[in-house]
Amino acid sequence: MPLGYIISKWTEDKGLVVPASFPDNMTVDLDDMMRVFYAHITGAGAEGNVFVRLEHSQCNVASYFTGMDSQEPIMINLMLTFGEDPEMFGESYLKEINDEIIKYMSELAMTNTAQSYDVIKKLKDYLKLALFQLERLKNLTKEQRLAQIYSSEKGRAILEFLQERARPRKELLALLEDKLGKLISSIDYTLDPFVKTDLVHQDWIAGLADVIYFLQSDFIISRIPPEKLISEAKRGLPNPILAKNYLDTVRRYFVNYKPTIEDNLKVAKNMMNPDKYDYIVLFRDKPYPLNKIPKGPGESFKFVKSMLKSMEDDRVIAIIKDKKGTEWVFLLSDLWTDTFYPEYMVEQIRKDRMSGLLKKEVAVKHLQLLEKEYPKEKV
Amino acid sequence: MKHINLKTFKKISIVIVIMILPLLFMQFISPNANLTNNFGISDNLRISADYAYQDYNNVPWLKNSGFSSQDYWYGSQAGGDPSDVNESISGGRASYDINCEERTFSDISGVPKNNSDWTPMNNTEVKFEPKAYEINSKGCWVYHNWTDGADAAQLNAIQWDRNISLDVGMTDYNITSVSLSAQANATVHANNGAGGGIEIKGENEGGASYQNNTGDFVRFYVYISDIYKNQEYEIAYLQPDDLGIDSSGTLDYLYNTTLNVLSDENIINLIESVLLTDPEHKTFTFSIGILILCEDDFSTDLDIWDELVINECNFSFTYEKIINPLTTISWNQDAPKISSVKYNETNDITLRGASLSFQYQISELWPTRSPNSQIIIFINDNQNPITTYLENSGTQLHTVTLDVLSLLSVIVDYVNFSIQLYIGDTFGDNNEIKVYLDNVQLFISYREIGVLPPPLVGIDWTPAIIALTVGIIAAVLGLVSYILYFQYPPLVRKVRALRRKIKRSRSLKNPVAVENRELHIKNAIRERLNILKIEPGMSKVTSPIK
Repeated sequence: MPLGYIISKWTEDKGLVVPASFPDNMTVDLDDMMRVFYAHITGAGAEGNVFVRLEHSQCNVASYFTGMDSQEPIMINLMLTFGEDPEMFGESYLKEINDEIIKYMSELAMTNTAQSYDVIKKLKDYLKLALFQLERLKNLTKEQRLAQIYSSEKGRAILEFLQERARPRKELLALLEDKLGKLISSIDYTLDPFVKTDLVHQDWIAGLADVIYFLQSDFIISRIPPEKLISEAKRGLPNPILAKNYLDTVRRYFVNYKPTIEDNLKVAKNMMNPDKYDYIVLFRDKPYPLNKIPKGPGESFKFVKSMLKSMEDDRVIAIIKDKKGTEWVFLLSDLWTDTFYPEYMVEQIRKDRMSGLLKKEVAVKHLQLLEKEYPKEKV
Repeated sequence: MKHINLKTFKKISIVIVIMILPLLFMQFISPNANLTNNFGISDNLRISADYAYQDYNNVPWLKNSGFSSQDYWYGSQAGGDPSDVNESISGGRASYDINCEERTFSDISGVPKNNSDWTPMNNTEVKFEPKAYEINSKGCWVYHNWTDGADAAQLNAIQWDRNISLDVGMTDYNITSVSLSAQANATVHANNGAGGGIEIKGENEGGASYQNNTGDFVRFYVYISDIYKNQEYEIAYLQPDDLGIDSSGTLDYLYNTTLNVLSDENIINLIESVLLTDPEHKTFTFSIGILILCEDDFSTDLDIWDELVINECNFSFTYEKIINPLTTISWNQDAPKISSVKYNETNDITLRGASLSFQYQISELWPTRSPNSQIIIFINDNQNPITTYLENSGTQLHTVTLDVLSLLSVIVDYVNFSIQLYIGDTFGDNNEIKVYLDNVQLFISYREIGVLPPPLVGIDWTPAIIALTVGIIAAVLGLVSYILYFQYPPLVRKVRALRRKIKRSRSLKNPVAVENRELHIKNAIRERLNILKIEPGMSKVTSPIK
């Protein structure tokens, strides 16, 4: 479980100060904090993320720094236990949290001392909620894990490399560094969802010094029409007018729907957000009047409404009014992931082997895996 | 109705074809095909309409050849000693049981105990007893003194007898080994001043009246005898010649010393000799005793034997049953009469061959002392000249085959079969020996001439066997091809084929026809959009990569 957040900022006169942290009693050895800071400012001191192991404090820190050039250099430190890694939560979701924190910090910069108390209180409430959500992210469903892979730049790159051919770990790491243009200390956490979702099989081959990663399953991420809601709408549910409006809305949307990377990233981001994902699952089953939507523990109506607004903007849900003017929330597009057998790899292996790009043992092993993994339901 | 998909239908079809294939070949079977030579019967040759001859080959003539029960077989003994052998059938085989056995007598050992086994008796040749004797914790104990003038008896003896009765009469047993040992000790006054003590031969107490001849002595002994003491033999003794020598001082000691024992062979002969006097050949007497001679050396002679003891005696022997030569034991069977197989009473039978085979096995190595023992075959009391010697047979199973036509050459209308064990030499052994018999078969080939039944007509199974074989091969091939190929879905077959090619480094020029990734994704999404009856507006499929 993440230990907490420590927000620090760099000032000319006082050096490194900590305006907010959560939990309140969380402290970090100053030397450790300076190590993180130095890790950021070494070189150009630009905006970016670092991941540092803190020996004194006996924890890991995933730190985001706004850069020395920013108006107010801020360091957002997510404190993790030794076994945890930011990859476990997905870089996009962490970025979302960091953006929100920076908003609070900007607000704080513009307030007087009396007002700052309220801002810090709001920031701490947000940090509490963020930590809770991060903890939830450790227990993802399979479709969320697939979304996690897709939402990560590293994940997408790894998938792309493995769609070409099986690769040893070192080669994968080198390709990744080359593609992303930065040093990567480890890809273990990035590969973890691949293994957990059975997309990739890792194995040793006699005579080769490194572990090899084989793609044994691929996946689709996309939007699809909500099957159950549409079936029920065709039967005039929840009522004929709403049903007709809903069917028209969905049809209009999907007639123009074009899956793109940008849109798919939106899909992945929504699936990765635990609260949004809960609502997607809820709305798959049936539509709800806006005022009757079940709320999670501690969630305010305002919070729910703002989240639904964000989902509406992302074209995940649609709000349709009935005759009486009651607003109903429908799932406009179901966010969908589906694994499939990578049939294309067979031909890819043949080509690679013929051109000498693939060792004989690796090719044979990959084909063995593909034979074994052929879906039983297709037999 | 349950829906059967295409794949299931294909699988069921393959299995049905595999099962039907052998049946298709069965059509080649011709139910009216002639069959000859079945069960060893040849074509009959018809000389005229109702006169022919027919050959019957290797017809099994004995019943219950495998000895599954006692049926048809009976045992018999003749000659030698009937108690030496028995016959039995068990566990699916017959056996000759040779009653070898070894027994041991070993009742006498250690310190003689004061119990009813031992009876103090006078030595048959000595009238007087020592002044004190008993069996105590030390063994057979004696005290004696002799004073010149006061005691008349100079020669004294006492012995303890034990009657030994064996379990069996020994006429049919041989003693094969014997073991005897005995031990004695003594304390005597060697020099007691005026009385002189024990004077051994050659000691001179001085004076003209001194009369030393044999000297004073003691003799410890072991006898065997018949119970009436008509025959009595000393088989062990000890007579120390220096016990009581004056130079020893007041007392002289004989420390534990073993008695001199006759050779084993002599003892065996003597035991057998005394046993012969017993009508039952079972009983004899074993004695341990002490004899003392006090010589009248001079007028004041006083001899004191403080303690004479036989403190240990061990006597044992083994004896084994004698297996007597000329003993025989047989397993017999009265086989069917020759005439019993005739088709017509007036027909003639001509024997054309007779062979015998049997298996035997011996429970342990046959004793080398009996090299002439053998298994002999008799048919109708005619002995087969070739016999089977048991020596060097080991313990493994042997199969014997013999031509016994000569034993049946004189046609008589019965077949009395006998397989006999003949003991050729005297021997014995410590365990019972079993000679097992199994699969005793007598095959007779004969020709019947005269009025015969029409030719045998039957089903010739050869085409059926061929068809079945071909069918089975086809079924196996079908099954193998299913296991190796057809059971896999088409794509997996492609994967396996490519893997084989790569493994064997074969050409990979031909592309594998597979579904393209983009097409798969497009189709998958299209399938999902079907619910709205619209086509995806996908100008570019980008999910998730490529």
